[in-house]
Parts: sequence; structure tokens; C-alpha cells
Amino acid sequence: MSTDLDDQLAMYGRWLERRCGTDLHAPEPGKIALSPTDVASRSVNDMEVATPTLQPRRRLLLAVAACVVIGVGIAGLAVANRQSSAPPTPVNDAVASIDPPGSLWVLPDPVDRYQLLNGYSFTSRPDPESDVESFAPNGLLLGVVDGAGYIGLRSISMYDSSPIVNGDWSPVDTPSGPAFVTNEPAVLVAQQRNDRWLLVTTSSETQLALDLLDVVSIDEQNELDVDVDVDDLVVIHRYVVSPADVGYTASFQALTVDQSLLTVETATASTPLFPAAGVAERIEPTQINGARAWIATRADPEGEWNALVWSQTPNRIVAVSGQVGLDEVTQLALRLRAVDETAWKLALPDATAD
Amino acid sequence: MSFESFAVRDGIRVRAGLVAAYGPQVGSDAAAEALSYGWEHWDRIGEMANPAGYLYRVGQTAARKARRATPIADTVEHASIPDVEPALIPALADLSESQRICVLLVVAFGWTRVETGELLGIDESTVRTHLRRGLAHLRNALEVSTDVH
Repeated sequence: MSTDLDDQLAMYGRWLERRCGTDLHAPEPGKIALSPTDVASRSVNDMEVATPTLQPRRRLLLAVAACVVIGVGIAGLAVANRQSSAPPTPVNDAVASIDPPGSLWVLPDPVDRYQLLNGYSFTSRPDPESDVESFAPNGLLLGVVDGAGYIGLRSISMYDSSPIVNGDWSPVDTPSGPAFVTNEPAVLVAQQRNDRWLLVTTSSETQLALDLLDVVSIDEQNELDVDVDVDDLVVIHRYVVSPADVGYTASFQALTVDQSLLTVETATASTPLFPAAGVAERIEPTQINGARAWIATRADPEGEWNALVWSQTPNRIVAVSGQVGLDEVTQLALRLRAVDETAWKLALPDATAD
Repeated sequence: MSFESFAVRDGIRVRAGLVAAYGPQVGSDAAAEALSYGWEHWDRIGEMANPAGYLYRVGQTAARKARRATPIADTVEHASIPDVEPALIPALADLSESQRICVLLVVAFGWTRVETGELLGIDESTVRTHLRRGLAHLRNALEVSTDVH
């Protein structure tokens, strides 16, 4: 076996070709005329990719929720270790009126009913160089009425600085001007409007996001204005982000005895509907233990994906999701209890943090 | 340029990029969908400055839908591959998506850095950076593996 890395990669490449049943190699020079390259200078694309590639799916809600704090000003709250000895309280008995000082930590009760995996938490702190005063903290979630719910979900947020902070973004021309598109962690389209930036998020179809740019404007009060007469769009929710926000997220996966895998995430967001635009094809309101919640669904190639998401506190959301039936999602959601950070880390000893 | 001429060279590049990014199964399916879309809309896409990059993004959208059901670790298959150092496979899976695409397109498939950058919508210098870091990670992983064994 060759130990030369180039040889190893070449052999892996040939194996991939055999697996695909097609040629993936560049044609030999001279056999086919090279097409002219047209690589424009795009400084926006020079940024290093920072998005972790492992387990992106379970981090979708978190990553999209983290978009809320892009461009927000000074660092605000410090992460505080919550080591209270108070008994655990159901996270969904009622919506608490005060945000926790850091992440919202939750676990199922009893904890041994599930095998817990892949604990992960991170804190996204705002750029201290950002101008807090000029931040425009508002955004809209839009969709099309579909029975008791909505489809065609799109969210649009306005920032005072470029939201293009990491990932691979590609330039695209639109009727409203040049924009930049990326597909991770959701379909995101960013466009500069004078001294502001708009960021449109949707779950899959880039065209849905591009279409929204055509009908959105910034009015004299510096707020987003959308021509909702177009394409039967309705404004589902208008959200506001506090300039002091720091993004706190925590997640883990729960494996049932019959090997169903569910994901539990908590994140900083002023509305559970904001990240929904990045992951769901349809949402429908519901209740869970008296708290207003939303069922989010999409059709995946290998089965239906269901999620339940709700606001546990004014600025902390909880999401339970998986490629499982809604019943299993609901069962786990009803078992979740708020715990302190120590208990969470004891239950997930291999958890990682960024 | 006709779609047929495009497909002969750039279609392979689109497919190679998507396979490098999403693995042979999802990548091949996404490439088929992207090239089918390109054939249907060639009047418009053929006029673009970078049709390969555009169709790569179309493929990304298709792959993203399919990949929701597939852990990213499966992008690089953990199969037993004859003559390939076993440590290479998990090391490739550890790379960022951009690093993996650049390493596989340039080193494994022989595309130039400019061609790779055009496909991904990034500068050649960025491709070079991804390549350098990706190869450094792989060398380190293979050396570690050798030391252990």
C-alpha cells in the first residue's frame, strides 16, 4: 500500500469513480478546449469556512438561530453556571417570564429513558467593534396560508453590517441588485441596501428567497416593508432582537429503545418561528402543556421530519425534532425538564463546547 | 456554447464537485438533477458567465434536501477500500466541506485550482488555502495513524 498522500487520494478518487460509475477526472489537456475562466475578484468569498461539517443537521436550528445575533453590538450577558439545587421543573408547563442567565439546559425525565448522545453547546458573542446605535433590530417571518398553518416560509432580517461572516457565499444578480447566496446552514441570501444589509432565510428553494428580495423595501421609519399582495404572502410574525443579545445554544440527541433518533435544542431567539424558516416547509400552531408551540414539518427523502418548537422564556426557544412521527417528538417534549449546567454535563459527559 | 459541449467538460466538473462534497450517492443524484435542470434551462444558463458554478449551486440545493437524512460523516464512506490507508477516510470526513472539495478536485481528480475556484465561486487563492490546510490535516492524521499502529 502506498503511503504517499497524493497516491492515496488518487486511489480514493478512482474508487469514487467506480462507485459513481462515471468519470470525475479533468479531461487531459488537448483533448478538449479549455473553457475560459471567469473568476472575478470577490473578496466576500475569501473568508475562511468556519462552519463545522460534522453533524450539521442537528445544529440547523442553532445555526439559524445564531443568525439573529449577527451584527449585534457589545457583548452583554456573561454565561453563568447555574448550580441551583432547586428541583427540576417541566420546561413546558408554562412559559417563564425571565430568561436564564446563560444557556437553557434541559434533559428528559427520567433521563435513562433515552440514550443521550452528542451534547454540544456554544455561545456566539457579538462583535465588540459593531456600532450598537445603528443596529436595526427587526425582521419578518412570511409565508403562505395553508389550512391552519403556513407554507413557503421565509424570514428577512435587517442588519447594519454585512451578515456574511462565514461559509461559502456566491454572488448572484437579482432584479433588486447584486446579492450573495449560501446554502449552509440554510438557504441564505444577503443583499446590501444603501447602508443596510438584508438577510433572507428559507429552508430549501433559493428562488423563494430571491423572490422576497424583489418585494421588500426599507421604509422612512427604517423598518422593513413587504408588498404582501405578491404571491399570497402574509406576514406571520414580526420579531425584534435586543442589541444586547448573546447567542446561547445547547443541544443533544436522544436515542429511543427502538433506535429512533431525536434532537433536542435550546437556543437564543425571540421567537421559535424565526429559525423555522430555515428548516421547515410547513408550520402549524399547537399547544404543549398550555404553552403556545408550533409543529414544523418537511418531507425528507427518507421520511417525514417533525419538530415541536416553543418559547420557554421571552428569548429562549426549545426545539425537539427528528425523522420520527410527531407522537415520538411530543413524548420527548413532554418529558423535558430544566436542569442546571452541572446536571446536563453529568448526563452528557462527552459534550463539546465552542 | 451548446449544452452538449458544456456537459463534456464542465458537467464532469460539476459532478466531481458534488461527489466530493456529498459523497457518491447523494452527490451523483444531485449532479443528475443539476445537469437535468441545466439542459432544460440552457437558453438562460448558457448565457451566464459561470454556468458550472450556477449548476453546482443548483446541485447543492438538491443535495441539501437529500443530505438532511444522511449524517455528514457518511459523506466520505467508511467502506473498506482496497489499497487506501484506512485512516484517510475518517481524516477526509474531518475536513471542512470546502477543504475536502478542494483536496479531492485538485489532487484526486486533477482539476486546476482556477477551475475548482470557479466551480465553488471562490478565488484561486482561497482554493490554495483550503488545499494547504486540508492536506496538512490529512498528512498529520496519517502520520498519527502510522505512529499508533
